[in-house]
Amino acid sequence: MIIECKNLMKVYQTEGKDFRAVDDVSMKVEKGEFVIILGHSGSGKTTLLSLIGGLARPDAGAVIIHGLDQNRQAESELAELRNRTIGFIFQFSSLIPTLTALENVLLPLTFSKVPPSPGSYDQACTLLEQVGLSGKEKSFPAQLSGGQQRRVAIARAFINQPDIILADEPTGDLDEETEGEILRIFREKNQIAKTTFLVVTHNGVLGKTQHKPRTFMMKNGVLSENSSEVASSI
Amino acid sequence: MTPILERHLNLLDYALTSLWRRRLKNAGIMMVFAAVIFLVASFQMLTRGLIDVSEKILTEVPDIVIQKMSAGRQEAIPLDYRERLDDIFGILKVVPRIWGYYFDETNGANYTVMALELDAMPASSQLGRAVIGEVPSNNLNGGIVLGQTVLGNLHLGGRRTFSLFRPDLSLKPLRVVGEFNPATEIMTADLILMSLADGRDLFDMPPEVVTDYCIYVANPAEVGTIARKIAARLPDTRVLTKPQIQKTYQVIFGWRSGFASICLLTALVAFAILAWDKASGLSPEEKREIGILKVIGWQTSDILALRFWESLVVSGLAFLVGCLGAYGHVLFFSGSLFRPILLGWSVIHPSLTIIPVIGGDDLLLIFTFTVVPYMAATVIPAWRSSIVPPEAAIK
Repeated sequence: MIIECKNLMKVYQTEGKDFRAVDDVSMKVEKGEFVIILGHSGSGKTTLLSLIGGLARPDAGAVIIHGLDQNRQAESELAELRNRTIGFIFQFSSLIPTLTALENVLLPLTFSKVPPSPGSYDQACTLLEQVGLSGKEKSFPAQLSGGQQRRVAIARAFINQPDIILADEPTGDLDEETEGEILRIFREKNQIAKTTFLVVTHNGVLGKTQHKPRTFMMKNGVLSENSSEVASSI
Repeated sequence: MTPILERHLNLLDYALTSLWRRRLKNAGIMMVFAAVIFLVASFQMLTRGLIDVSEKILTEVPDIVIQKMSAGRQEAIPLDYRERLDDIFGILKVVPRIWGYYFDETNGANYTVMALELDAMPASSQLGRAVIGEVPSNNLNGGIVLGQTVLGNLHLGGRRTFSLFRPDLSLKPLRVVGEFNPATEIMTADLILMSLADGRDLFDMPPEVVTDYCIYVANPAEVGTIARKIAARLPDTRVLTKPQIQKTYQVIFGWRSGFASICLLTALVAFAILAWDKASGLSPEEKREIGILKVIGWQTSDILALRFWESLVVSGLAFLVGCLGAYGHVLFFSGSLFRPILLGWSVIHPSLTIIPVIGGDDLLLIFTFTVVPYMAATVIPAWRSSIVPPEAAIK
């Protein structure tokens, strides 16, 4: 088992009242699974992704990655986890504006235990080519469209060959052609490299593009494993 | 290469890239910062340089000066006071002096006139070495020695004679027999040296008085003791010792420098507040950048180290540029921007060359009051942003 969530709870204060963004969520994900979490905006799926990725600490419960409880890990260990084991893809542009596309892709390697090498450079170029950005290596984020920036972020998520990809609405504002290309890359990585995917989206069609996805439904912070019928109704 | 060193080299590389990408903004900050450091360092170097020069030159002043006081003001001292000092053991020479000022209306300048009983000067006196040419004889013959600035101010050209007005507006003819060494400019710029007889003639002073006495002692260690004995013998006089005069100059320069430093400190504080305001108000983009860096595996310590290197590069360069600029300003331009503040707004300014004096303690002081606050003003807000969970920073 690569990911295990045990009774996860995350509470935010909103206008003096407690709001349970994640409410007693438990789930287990095996290595190589493609997990889709569906839900409306504000249902808590992004917060759940943040908890699993170690971007936020839960108020209760535990997230266990590779058998290690995140609650018991120091900041440096969590940083190492985010750097080596998990690749993040966000729904907004998450590039450093002062770095080129290629530098953004190489950025996670700066502090990796495997420092950048000429091979890394080639790998980054290949990843940019795979996401359809060949020739844009030296472009700055401001010179790229929103969809192109998203694709650079996707390439960056794969540079360290992580075991897990956590993606938040990864194809949200992409055109159909690019979306199809990205989903094909996801499928390849999932099938060939056995990368585990945990994707939150409100796009119910996404599941149809992947091989044997597991689909969950999130509503008011509560997670439940769902049938494809429910998923397609989103 | 050790992992820590490699990590910091990577961070420095990232910091330099980041600074270069925002080069216009960073160059602007650096220039303003360098200007502030330049002002502070110029003052520090100029003050030290002037104190250094004055200390060297004040070694030539008499060991003790005696002035007669009446109702808290200085007045002429009778010549017979000299006899009351004869039996004080340790006094080498007692030299009567007439010291006054002459306003040159033609040039709008005020000269200092010093008339001495020159043959009474002790053999150890450095007067001969301070003068290029002849030292005036003790006779009433109009022989004078001029400071370099007076010499230039009088526009004598090739002439060596000119006249000054006595109080009754009759002309006193004078003859330039020597000039003061330019190295003594800080003390002799506006000085006219002549014999006691010529001084008495110029100022029309009665034969039985002088303005003060210069006392030279055999053993410098006894100056304080002898001064106390003189004060006891001549209770209506003020007895000034060489250390006191030296201290006065240091205090004058120190006070003026201190006053100006407070003004500059205000500018420095204003800059620090500006830097703090700029840095503490991290833009949403900067906060998001910190969040993104944490998401991809950077730690809080990496963010702080990055900000540290960025601040160090900007403030270190500004420090270097400011200090080198200040050194050049003092060495090549004699600190012309601030010299009037330190030397006073007299009509005649000494045109001496000041060698900037800067010690490790001065550099440390300037560094502490400039670079350290700037680094604190930029690193602390980054720390405040980087300790929040990355989720909050990227939302």
